[in-house]
Amino acid sequence: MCLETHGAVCEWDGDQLTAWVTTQGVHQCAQQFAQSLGIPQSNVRVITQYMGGGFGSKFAPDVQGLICARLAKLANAPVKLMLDRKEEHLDTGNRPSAFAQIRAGVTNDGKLTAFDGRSWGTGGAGANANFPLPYLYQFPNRRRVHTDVYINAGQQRAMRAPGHPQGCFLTEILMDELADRVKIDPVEFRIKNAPPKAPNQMWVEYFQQGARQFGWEKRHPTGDPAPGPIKAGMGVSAHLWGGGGRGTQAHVDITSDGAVVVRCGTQDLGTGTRTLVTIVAAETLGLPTSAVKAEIGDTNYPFSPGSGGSTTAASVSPAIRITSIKALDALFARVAPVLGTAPGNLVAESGRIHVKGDPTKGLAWKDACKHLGTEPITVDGQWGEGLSSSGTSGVQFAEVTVDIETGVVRIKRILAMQDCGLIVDKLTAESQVYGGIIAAINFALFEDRLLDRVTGQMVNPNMEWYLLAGMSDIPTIDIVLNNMPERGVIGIGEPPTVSTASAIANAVRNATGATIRSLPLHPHKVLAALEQQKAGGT
Amino acid sequence: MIEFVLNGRGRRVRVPPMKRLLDVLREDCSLPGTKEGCGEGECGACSVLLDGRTVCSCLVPVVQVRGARVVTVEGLDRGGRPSALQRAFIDLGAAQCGICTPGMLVTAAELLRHARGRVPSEEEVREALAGNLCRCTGYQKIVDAVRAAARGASRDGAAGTSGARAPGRSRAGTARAKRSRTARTKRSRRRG
Repeated sequence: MCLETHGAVCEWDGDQLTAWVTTQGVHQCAQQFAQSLGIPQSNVRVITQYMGGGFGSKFAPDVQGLICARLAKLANAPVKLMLDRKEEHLDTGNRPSAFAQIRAGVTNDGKLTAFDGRSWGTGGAGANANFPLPYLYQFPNRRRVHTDVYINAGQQRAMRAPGHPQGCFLTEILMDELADRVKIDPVEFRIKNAPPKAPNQMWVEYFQQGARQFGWEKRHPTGDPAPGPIKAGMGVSAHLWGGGGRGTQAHVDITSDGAVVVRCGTQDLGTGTRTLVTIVAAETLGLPTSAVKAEIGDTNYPFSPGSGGSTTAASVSPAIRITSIKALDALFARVAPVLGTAPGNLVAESGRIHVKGDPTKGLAWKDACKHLGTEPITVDGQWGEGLSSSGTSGVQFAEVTVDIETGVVRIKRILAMQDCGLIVDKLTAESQVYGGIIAAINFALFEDRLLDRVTGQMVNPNMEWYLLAGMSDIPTIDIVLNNMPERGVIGIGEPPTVSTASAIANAVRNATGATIRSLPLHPHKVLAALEQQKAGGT
Repeated sequence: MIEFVLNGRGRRVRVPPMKRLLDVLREDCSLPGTKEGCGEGECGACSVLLDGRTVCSCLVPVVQVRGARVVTVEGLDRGGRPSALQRAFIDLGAAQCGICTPGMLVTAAELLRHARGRVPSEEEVREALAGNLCRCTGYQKIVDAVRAAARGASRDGAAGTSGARAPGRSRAGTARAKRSRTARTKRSRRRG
């Protein structure tokens, strides 16, 4: 669910449909409108200037979008249709569930030998719920049987980092239990069994560096020996994600008044894509960001894929970079004769176009553009290889306190070690990490879709009983972003949300000594785990 | 006909008295800055100032604002320029999708006005904004931005809250009470 519910405004002009949709993919949304309404795609324009979050749930027009379009046609008037909060909960998808029974083997010196797992999950009515398991670590022998369970409930959606938080949790709580079994520190145990270091596999380094920074050496063995009801503990977890770019196209106009307009049919979910487009174009053209106008979120602009899988930055940045370079080359070709030099000798920096190595021999950007006269620079370009790649890694540490009398878990601090290739904009990259971590705190402690066991009805389709973290639930969060410019742009929306919940669960186990095998960690579940531990454990 | 002062200017609306203030603002006053999140006073996205106090406009029937002063997010700027608070939100990246942002700004404006130039502690900001939920979960930067705005305001001696006015009698005491009660129960529920 999103804070802005799903919905649309639709308006027809004859057989032309314009739909303002809250969507993560304007182009694919237009395609689906056309298919579902039986009209040519060229007759559909989808616009998403701004939207109130998607988190994997806002791609298609959905039922409400199609109803909106049909009503607008019948009414011969614009129609706005936004879901209410209850409908948002019932009808716009959720992260599929996961359940597993696992047997695993480990040698006395802490090397994993075998994984044998059976897993189940439900994606609702007729939708799959598979997830990666075992996650990340190297089990030389593995067997896994997964079964999708279909139930009469709303279908799953690709909620932030689909599948990974589930697989990560099931594997990471297993890792801590195995580490205790062979009496090895959990960080050391993970290092022994992590894949070897590679640019997209930096876990070993993050475990070591993070443990030092977090003060891992102060961690006590499982079960806080401190007297009193408040127990403290630390946990750790690791994750991976793909990301990477795909074929985005872009268009750049430079006019004789010096104005620069960049058009790209991508969309900004609140992640800062508009900022990214502006920054990349401005830096390429040697201009301040205020001199570049980014126009996005419209199917009238060149194609860009939907924003999912942490692929937007890696799709869009190269396309904007390449197209801006093309535009700049075209401008150089027009300005070079004026400056009495060859286009290849020119550079654009600090708002000027000048001869390489001689800033005095040049023109201010606006003066240079005046030479364009009535014929503007107008170029198209597209994503190309070499400026982006895929594969990220991360490790997170969590410290919690648990009140063993009430079962309430408080998170004290979290440390995130994360890479995402070249960091294009640190501010928005950090925001994605903060957001991912806190979204995972929701996954760990709060969010729970409760279905009536008999009827399958969701019994908490509101924000009163479907809990979200508030400002006072948020711990101190430290982020270490590992900038790897040589890898190009990769994407960061999803990776930081994968392992937080596992680190929290392991920290709760470390604090209490109770076996934690289920999320969210609502107080009653923590108390039940403590009771079970007193009764002899599992 | 219901008369009230909206963002410093007199306003008359002819609407059903029980129509939600939220809908009156968006539909009848053409001020779409105020957002609907949950529609039941849980998320704070629709927060506005009513006689200087934060209320959830989804819980306030418009009849309750008769004669009162209402300030929405559109009323927080300074003659078309962002206030110090709004500037800090922009500079520090304290907004992601933006749906919670108007409510955060309005609630923080009330906090800063009460702080009278003092920089509230991180804990105070978190407490004051506990009733405003953010789904992109940009909480950390929101806290940072509120405190940065307070620091800026304490430096240049101006509170970044031009739209906020002196507190008066709360016309929507019931709504306010419900909201703070809700915030309390939410917190206590979470703590067990």
